Amino acid sequence: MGNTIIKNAFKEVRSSFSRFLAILLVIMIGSAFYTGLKSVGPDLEASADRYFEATHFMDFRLLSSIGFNDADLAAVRNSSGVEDTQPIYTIDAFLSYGQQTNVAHVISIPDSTGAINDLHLVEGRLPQQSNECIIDKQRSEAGPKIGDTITLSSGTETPINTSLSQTVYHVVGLAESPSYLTKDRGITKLGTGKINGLVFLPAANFTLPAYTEILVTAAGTSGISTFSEEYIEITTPLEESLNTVASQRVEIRQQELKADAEAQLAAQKTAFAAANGIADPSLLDSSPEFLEAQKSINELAAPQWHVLNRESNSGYLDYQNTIESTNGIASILPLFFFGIATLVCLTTMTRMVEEQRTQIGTLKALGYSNAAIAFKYLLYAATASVLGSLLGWAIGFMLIPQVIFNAYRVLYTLPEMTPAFHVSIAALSALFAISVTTVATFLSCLTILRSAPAELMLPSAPPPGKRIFLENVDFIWKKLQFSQKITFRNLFRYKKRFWMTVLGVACCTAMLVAGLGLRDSIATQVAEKQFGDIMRYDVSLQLKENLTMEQKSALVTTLANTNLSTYLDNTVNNISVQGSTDNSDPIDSLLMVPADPAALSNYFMLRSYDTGEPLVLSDHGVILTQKLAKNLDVTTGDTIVINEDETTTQLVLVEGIAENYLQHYVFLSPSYYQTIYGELPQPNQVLGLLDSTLSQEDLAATLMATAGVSAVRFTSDNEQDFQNTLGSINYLIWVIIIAAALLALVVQYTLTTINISERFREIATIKVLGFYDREVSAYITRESYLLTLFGILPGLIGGIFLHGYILDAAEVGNVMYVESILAQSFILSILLTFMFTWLVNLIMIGTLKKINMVEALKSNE
Amino acid sequence: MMNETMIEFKGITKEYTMGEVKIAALAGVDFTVNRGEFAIIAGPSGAGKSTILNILGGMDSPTGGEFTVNKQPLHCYGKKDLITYRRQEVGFVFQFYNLIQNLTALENVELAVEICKNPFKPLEVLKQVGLENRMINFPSQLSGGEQQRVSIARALAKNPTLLLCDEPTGALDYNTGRSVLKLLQDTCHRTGMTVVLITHNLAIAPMGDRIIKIKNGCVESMSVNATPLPVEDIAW
Repeated sequence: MGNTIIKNAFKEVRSSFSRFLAILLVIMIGSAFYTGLKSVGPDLEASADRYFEATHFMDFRLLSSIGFNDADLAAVRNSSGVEDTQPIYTIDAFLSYGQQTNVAHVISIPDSTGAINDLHLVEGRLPQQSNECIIDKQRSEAGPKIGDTITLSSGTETPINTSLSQTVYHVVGLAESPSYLTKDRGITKLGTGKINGLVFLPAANFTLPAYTEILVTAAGTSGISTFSEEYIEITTPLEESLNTVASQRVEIRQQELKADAEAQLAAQKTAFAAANGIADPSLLDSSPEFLEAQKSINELAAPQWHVLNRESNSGYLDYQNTIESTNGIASILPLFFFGIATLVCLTTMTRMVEEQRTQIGTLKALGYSNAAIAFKYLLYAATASVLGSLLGWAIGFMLIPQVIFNAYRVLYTLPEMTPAFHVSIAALSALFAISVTTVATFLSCLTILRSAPAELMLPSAPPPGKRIFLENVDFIWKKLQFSQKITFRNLFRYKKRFWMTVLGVACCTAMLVAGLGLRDSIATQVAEKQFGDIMRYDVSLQLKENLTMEQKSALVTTLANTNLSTYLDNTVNNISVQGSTDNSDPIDSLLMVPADPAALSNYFMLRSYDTGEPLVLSDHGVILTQKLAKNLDVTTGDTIVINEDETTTQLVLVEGIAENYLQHYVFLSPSYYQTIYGELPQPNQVLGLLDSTLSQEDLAATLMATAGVSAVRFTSDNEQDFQNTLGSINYLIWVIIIAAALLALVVQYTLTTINISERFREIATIKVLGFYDREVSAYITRESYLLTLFGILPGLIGGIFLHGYILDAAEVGNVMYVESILAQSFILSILLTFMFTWLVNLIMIGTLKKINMVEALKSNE
Repeated sequence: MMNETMIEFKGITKEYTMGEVKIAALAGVDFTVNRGEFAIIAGPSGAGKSTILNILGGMDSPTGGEFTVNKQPLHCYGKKDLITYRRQEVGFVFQFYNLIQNLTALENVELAVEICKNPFKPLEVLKQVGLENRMINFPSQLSGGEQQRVSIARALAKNPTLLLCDEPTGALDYNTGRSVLKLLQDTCHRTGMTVVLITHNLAIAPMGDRIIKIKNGCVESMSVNATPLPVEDIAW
């Protein structure tokens, strides 16, 4: 290719810089957005992978109803595909620090570092003495710091020293554990059912007869992302072989237990025989009490093993869901941007080629080949798109994931993220960008290159005037003012520009609607409905376990004297729920048993998710919340399994599905609770409504001072927490809104500039005729406002669909989003779109003023 | 009335700056045109005719000198006043018609008339120029001569005090050109409107009431023609 052509192309860049910039910018926004959103998921994955690799996060966790012995451990260690095993002890215990007492999960740490689930020490050091411990950083925020002393107690009749050698510990370090990515610490049978903190002790401190858990890592997973298919392929066979080991060991352990029991029974019999002078102990076999003992030995149930993979870890699952949700949002939106980029490019390049038809004709006449001429324009467009891509990468890879990751770090305990350059994403975006521009350029050149040079030397005939359809509609056309008629005629005359602008405006409005709508659906409305309509109680009190009669009456007296207008006793338990038919993963939920189901609606509104009818708790079924029903894929009339802990399960009937947006709940009446559990529920929570006369702080202080109350929680605080959590998604939404806004500006700017340059003569003519500047700009801007108006309607409709699509992809876990978009978001989208048009018009007024009539009218058309 | 001064140019200069080089398009132009005259400004291309017309029409401002049109000191006018002047007092006819393609003949005239104070009825003006049957046609459906007639109608309908024509026959064939010139001359003599016509074609000079010859940015000669020839008697 000739040097002159290349030189010519770069000269063109200088002479038509704003055009070059428009292509560059639109490609930059497109690729920044594409690479940014697309790399958030992989970046989140990579930082988790790095964390898991550094801490040797377990691939499997084995639980047993009777614990594990060394033979179990050896069997697990010898199964194929196992890289390493780590037996650990865990207990749940009450942690007392000053006035605080709540449940902690106590976990043994191995003697050597580099073991499975290695702690990420944030501050301090590892325990060196038997009276030293580490607690998790999150727990430390509320109380014990390094150097403080904590006391552990069992909270049951069995004293803690059956499991721990010490009860008092000095905190020497703060740590985070890869098993706990979120703030959630899991559930327990103790206290409120919720674990508040973690305590890490040296294994030697545990005096348990058997290991509580065995942690397993799989061989060959090093360097493989835990979120990849490959990981599943490697770990699935291991999971199978661990399950095989489990079933073998369960049988062996059952035999051993039986043998032990038999031996014990035999010993008892011998002792009894000796004491009672019976010569042959076997004669006792038929005596009722020994018969009973023998029967229970024969019926001795096999112990249960559970092989749990990473997805059973709630923090891990939550994080995985977040990644999926982010990927969902990132799936379709960026393509929109490239679509719009194509549009801008096509119009810009078409105009450019059209403007230079004489030059092209000259080049052709000089004997330059079509390829050489097209090359100039391709080079021009490609340069813009390559530069745009590079800038877009910088923003996309460095800035966007960092902003979103920082927001997510509020939710997850993860070390710093280092922004990564993803070759495949970058390549794909560049491929998109470059093909979009070159194809658009090629299309723009096509007609001109096909024409003969002589034809090109002549100016192209302006598109002829045409009557429009509206002129046949007398009753409208006759009512229009002259200037309005001109506007309409012009709009429909430039069909290409009409469709391009309408499409461009529609896309931008759609993105604004989708972005603002996501905010409504995910944040605003969820909070409004959940904390306004559904959770009506203002405050909840957690009660201590096993209240004495005195404590209960003291509580009743206190409650009567505070400004709680009414209150309801409730029992809340952490459970997990499964569908009854398939082997689905258990889903953590809250079991709610209000003492007075008839009064529940004042505190927690149960209404049908589809009809909005109030739902009533009966004596033979449960009411589920809607997202739980959706995740379990059950409807009214199906049965589900509820597990109060890993060994107690109940089959129950679903009688209703209630509207709810946060958290999964299963509601039960006290009498049905009694039917399935054989006892009445013990209320452990009081839900109250407030008179707004007393401040919340005073009330909380009064209530906390009451014996029997372990925690006071205001709904307004919950709402605040929720809003904070959603701060993260808000960032993502703002990225979308800003990008949409920028794009809208570029699109409108490009189309308006081209409109003006195409109609240079026309504008000059009306200026000569004596139109004032104001009238000249009105002549042009009337058209752009009208086009904006035409674009907005399809944009709003498109936005609704886009929003629905993204929401569907983004909704994971136990949150339910509200599908509808608020009216104000539609209004705001419309206003913003008009504002962009207005802004562009404002810039254009300057350009219009500068149009030189003399220059414009000098030459032939 | 013929003796009332309509246009007066006194030492009008116009300089363009091209980088560091100053080019003088007009180097002190002096002339007068009386009300109701058909004035012809003639000269070779590049002599500065168009610059004079642009200044006269309020599309451009002189660098120096003074000039009045209809007793208005236009050299003192600001941008907005110049627009008002164009709007109310000037009608333009261009070499390349400059019709708006998307408007019919009638609508093109209506567009100009919409912003004037005392316009003529567009329909009647179009009849005068002989286009009553072509009113609903778009420019692309009209011949060159017809388009130039629409353009003249557009200028006339404004009821201007001054009609400025820049090479109005430049893009037309001989016969069509003659008929356009006849239309302009007749209009001038019938309505008493002052017409200034620019041409490089000296052959048509005898049809003017006043002939101003321009050369190298200066007035070479100015003469009053007491017996202007009708177009029919001119050939070139």
